[in-house]
Amino acid sequence: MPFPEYNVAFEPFGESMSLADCSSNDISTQELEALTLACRHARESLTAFLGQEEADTYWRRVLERACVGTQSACHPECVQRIADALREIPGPPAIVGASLAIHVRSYRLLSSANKLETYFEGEAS
Amino acid sequence: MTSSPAFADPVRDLHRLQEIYDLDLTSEETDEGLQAILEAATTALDIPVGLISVVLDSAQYFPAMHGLSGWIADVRGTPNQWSICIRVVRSGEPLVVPETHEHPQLCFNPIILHDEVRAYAGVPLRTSRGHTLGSLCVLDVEPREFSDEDIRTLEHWADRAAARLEERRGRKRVGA
Repeated sequence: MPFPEYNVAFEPFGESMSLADCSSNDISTQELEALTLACRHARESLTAFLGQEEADTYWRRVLERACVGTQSACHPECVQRIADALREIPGPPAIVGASLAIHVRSYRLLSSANKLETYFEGEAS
Repeated sequence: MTSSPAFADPVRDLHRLQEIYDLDLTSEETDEGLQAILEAATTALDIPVGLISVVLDSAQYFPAMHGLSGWIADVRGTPNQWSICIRVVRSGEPLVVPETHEHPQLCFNPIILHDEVRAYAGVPLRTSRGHTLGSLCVLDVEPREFSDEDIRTLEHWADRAAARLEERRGRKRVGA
């Protein structure tokens, strides 16, 4: 099935979304780690709520919709669009999208204030 | 209380999150009534900061806030790793911390470390369906004792806030 190569970077998280996938980005390793962490939270929630198979299907659709046409799936604008797309799925997935949007906004503001390291602080949720 | 057996953590309870969705609690529309309830609570306790926090699966959202500034106010929320109110959702009980720096876990929370929150009191926002959606909480930049009367006052306003939020039930369907 057609699936843009840059989207595959998100699937699965961790291993295939390596820093090399995003080497052409103008964002730092720390910024990339923050975005990856935010997306990982979202995908784990989606999987917990819907089950693996259905969550994977939704996630793939969301990525296709959110990331096609962008330079990289690792960019904050793309992650924002992932959040927006999730918010359009009724029920708990919309809540996952709302959470992800808060993560992205936090990332943006902390990053612009050169305080991104604080994003990784805090208690385990 | 309704709960999903598959989710031992109340924060991830599907029924709770479904109710948050049904009540449209992540809407970014300003709710003047909810804001007025929060203002009344902070005025009653004469405390500088108050929040109505809805705890989502991995972040908290503030549909009403008073006295907050900085990036958290701009975001209108935080990741759950930063949330103190998440503890209220998990316990379903009020949380009172007169001196955050002496709390064994909270003293490492970035909110405490970076934003000078020294005292916290939060009570559950509980709906008629038994779900704790979040917390009505107040914060101070100085250590502070909270009396039983203070907590009863917060619970009164939290009940009013929850009732206000429940007025939104069905709004999603009506607007669909």
